[in-house]
Amino acid sequence: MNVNYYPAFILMCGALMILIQLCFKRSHITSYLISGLSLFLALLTQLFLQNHADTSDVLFVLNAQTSFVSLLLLMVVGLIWAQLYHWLKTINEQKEEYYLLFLFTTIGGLIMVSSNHFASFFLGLELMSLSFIGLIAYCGPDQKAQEAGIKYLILSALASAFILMGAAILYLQFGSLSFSNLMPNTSSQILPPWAIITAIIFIFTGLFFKLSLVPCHLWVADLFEGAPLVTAAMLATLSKLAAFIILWRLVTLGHWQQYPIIIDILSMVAIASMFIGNFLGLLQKNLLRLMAYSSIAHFGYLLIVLLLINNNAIEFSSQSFNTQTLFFYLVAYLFTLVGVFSIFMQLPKIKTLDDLAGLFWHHPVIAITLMLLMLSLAGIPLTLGFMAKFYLVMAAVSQQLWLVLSALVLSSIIGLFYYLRVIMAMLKTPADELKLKEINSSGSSLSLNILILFLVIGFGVFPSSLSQFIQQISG
Amino acid sequence: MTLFILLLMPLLGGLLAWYSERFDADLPKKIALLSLLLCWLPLIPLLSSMPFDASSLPNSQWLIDESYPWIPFFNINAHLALDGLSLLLILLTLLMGLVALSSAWHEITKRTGLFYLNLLWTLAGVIGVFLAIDLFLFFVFWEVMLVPMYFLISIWGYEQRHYAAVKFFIFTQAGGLLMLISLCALVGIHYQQTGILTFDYLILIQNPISGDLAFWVALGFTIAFLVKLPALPFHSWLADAHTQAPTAASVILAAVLLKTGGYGIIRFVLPLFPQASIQLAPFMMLLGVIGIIYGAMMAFVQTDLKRLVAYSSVSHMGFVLLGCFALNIYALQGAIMQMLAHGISTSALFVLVGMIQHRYHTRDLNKLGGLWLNLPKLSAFGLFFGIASLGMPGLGNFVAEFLILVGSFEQYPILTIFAASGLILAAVYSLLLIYKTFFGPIKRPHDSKITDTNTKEWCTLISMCFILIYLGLHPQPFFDLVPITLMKLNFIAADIGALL
Repeated sequence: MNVNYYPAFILMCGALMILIQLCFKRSHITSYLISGLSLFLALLTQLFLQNHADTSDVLFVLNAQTSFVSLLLLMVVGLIWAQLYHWLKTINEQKEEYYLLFLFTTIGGLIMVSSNHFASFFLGLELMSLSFIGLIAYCGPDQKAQEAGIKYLILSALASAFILMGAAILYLQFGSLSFSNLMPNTSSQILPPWAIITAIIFIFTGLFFKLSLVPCHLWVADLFEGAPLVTAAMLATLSKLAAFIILWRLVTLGHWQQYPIIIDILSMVAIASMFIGNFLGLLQKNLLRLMAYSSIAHFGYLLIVLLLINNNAIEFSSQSFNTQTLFFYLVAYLFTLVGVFSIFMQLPKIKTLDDLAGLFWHHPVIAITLMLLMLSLAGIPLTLGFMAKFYLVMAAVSQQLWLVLSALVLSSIIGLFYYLRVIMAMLKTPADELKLKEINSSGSSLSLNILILFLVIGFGVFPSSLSQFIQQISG
Repeated sequence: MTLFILLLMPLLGGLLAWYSERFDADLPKKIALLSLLLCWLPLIPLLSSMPFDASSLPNSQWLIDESYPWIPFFNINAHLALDGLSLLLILLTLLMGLVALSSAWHEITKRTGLFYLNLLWTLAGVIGVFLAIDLFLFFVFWEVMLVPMYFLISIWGYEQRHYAAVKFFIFTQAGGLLMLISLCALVGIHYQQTGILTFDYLILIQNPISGDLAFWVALGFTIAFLVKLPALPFHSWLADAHTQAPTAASVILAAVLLKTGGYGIIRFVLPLFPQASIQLAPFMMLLGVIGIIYGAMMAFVQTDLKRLVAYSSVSHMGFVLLGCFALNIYALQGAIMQMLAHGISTSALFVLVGMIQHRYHTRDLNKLGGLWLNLPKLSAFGLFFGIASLGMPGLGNFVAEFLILVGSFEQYPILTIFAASGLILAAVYSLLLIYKTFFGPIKRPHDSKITDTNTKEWCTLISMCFILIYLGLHPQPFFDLVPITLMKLNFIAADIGALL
């Protein structure tokens, strides 16, 4: 077996071991350790593969870039996993199956980010989505969770159907399901261009649903609010990362920017996501709903990366600034987001902005971490989020995309309001001191906060090592 | 390393002050004072080697120039440099830092450690803005100095503090984002034209960009600076921020933060976009004149003392804008002088208002009156600074406004006549302020517990008086210090100006 499949293989073994363990004896801590160990080993293997990976076969492409994305994915999942045990102890369900589904979504994500074929892509997508349904509806009696689970089930099935339809039409044209054969060959044009454009729009619909970009965003806030916290974190990071990587690969490999209408659609979706995400974020009182809308806006910003490629046709492996922008933005956004979610996990009782009141005076470390993360999301200098925005602006300016840039500026200003509102809420005098006293600030969560701060602020102040690394893998 | 030490001193001092609060609530202010005094140390050799006369000035623009690589990927360096202009503004910053400290000494009793952390970090940010010569670094400081200021207003401010803090932050951030885009566009165009990717001011200035885009880039920069200045359409954050901020933060805002806008225009907009700034000049001067008149008129309808002073700032900063875009040497020197003089006179007024508020718990002009009888010393200072702000000859403000008017009259006579009317309006509001607070009938029975200025307050105010008088009587050394001829500014020939 190719050495590059080891990380996914290790995770699979971990999942199987948890299954076997469940047959004999239920033990929360054992499942936790097994999942942690397999994640850790997979991460190590992936790290080792960083310099070795460069093969591709029919189903998968394994090069420095995909291995970087896998690494990022595993790190994000690892950071979420670190908080999982304490959080799971607070719910009243059987706990061990959560780890099982957790690992399955990770495997699905891993498959998706390195897939090079509609078959492997779809396999990964379904593995991820189906496990997500279980994860979302995990807290049985909770009505909101049930509702969210049903919503996700139906909408996700619909999205998959759209993607399948699109893939089928593309197969009709190109006679292959491999991504690398998506290059339009003018000599053998079987279908009229509008049919291909329809197919592309179908696939976009499915992926935009996963990314919760604007016309397909209605589910995301309910889901973030209703789903268990860790599931929401996974949905916000892992699922979106995988879907965006696929979207980006399809658009670049298929040269979909050659169709002007696709460019128009992408810019419209980007602008609409920025504005609607940020505007609706303004209205939210619930922290998780707020994060949901903020994530809509952020993926709206990130869509700019897809608009960049229109001028110079780039192969997936060739060096380019746009690729680096994409990776840097993903790294910055995902780390920040994981940080925010792990803070939320440390504050299980706090659901709304008003509940945050006084946090700064009672738990300064947690509050300062959350504050800096909010500043990073808002893109204030010396944070990782700012560097990402800087990359994006540099790239967009160099291609003179003034329309989306002005949308970026205006909507970022709107977005600032609610990020500041979170900060301000923490500075207020608390209404209910009891709630704040229940927060456990254990040593492990403290060290996790420090790690997050190190990532977000450390790389924000000294981004050169990260940007050099990203340059290397995109080169 | 000198400049980096200068920058690090308040940063470290702030952290130390914060930490020390757990031992003693009075310790932070002492540490803050110490670290501000230590900041003067790196400047001493500079000041002693340059005994304020023109002949001993070095021939290059930069007195100190230090650079370390920071983000080699984009060719961004941590490049700090000091010339006469930044030296003057840093001296102003450090002085006003001490003044702010003095006014906060007894006023701030809650969460002292955090307060001084934020105060010192704001100062560090401002010093960074004045020193940074790499445009990216400049932008970073420009944005970062807002964050501690935001906390100063939103934690220690008055009733409407959250609203004011958010408004302040959003306005300046919006300007900042515009600047970020212009900055990237500037670097991009420069790269296109020369093939050098750099954010370094010294390199960018050698090949000023041209073309249609240059105008828009210049406009982006200018608007970002106008927000901070503040000029007319973007001024509305100022009144709220000043009114709600604690005295120390008001002092910093008025004395230093507003100056970063003027500094930005002089340092970046004029030399980097010589062509575009000539195109922009008439509009900017018009904005300046409107700001002068509007600010003054708004000032004399206010009943809140702090709002009055805040609007007078809008009026005074209109003069700075006028001076910057008159594009000749007198007006520019006047603008620099106005920044210094306004920094001192306005922050002194804020300190006075803070003292009055501390004693009477009100800033309402209608509730005050007849202070002179009870607080003669404080009122005398009030009279002095009120008169300074209306531009009395012999004080720094007069020199500045005179030079600005002389400089801009040459090219824009009509606009200048309107601007000069601002001086009369300034007299109206300054005298109104003096009359309503210090003279007139006593509105409330005297409380014998209210005392006149104590020694610390007296020393602070008297030293500010002396600086203003010195600026007014002997301004030449300050003009010599700013090597305008070396700054690569393009001044318009005298005859282009007859457009307006």
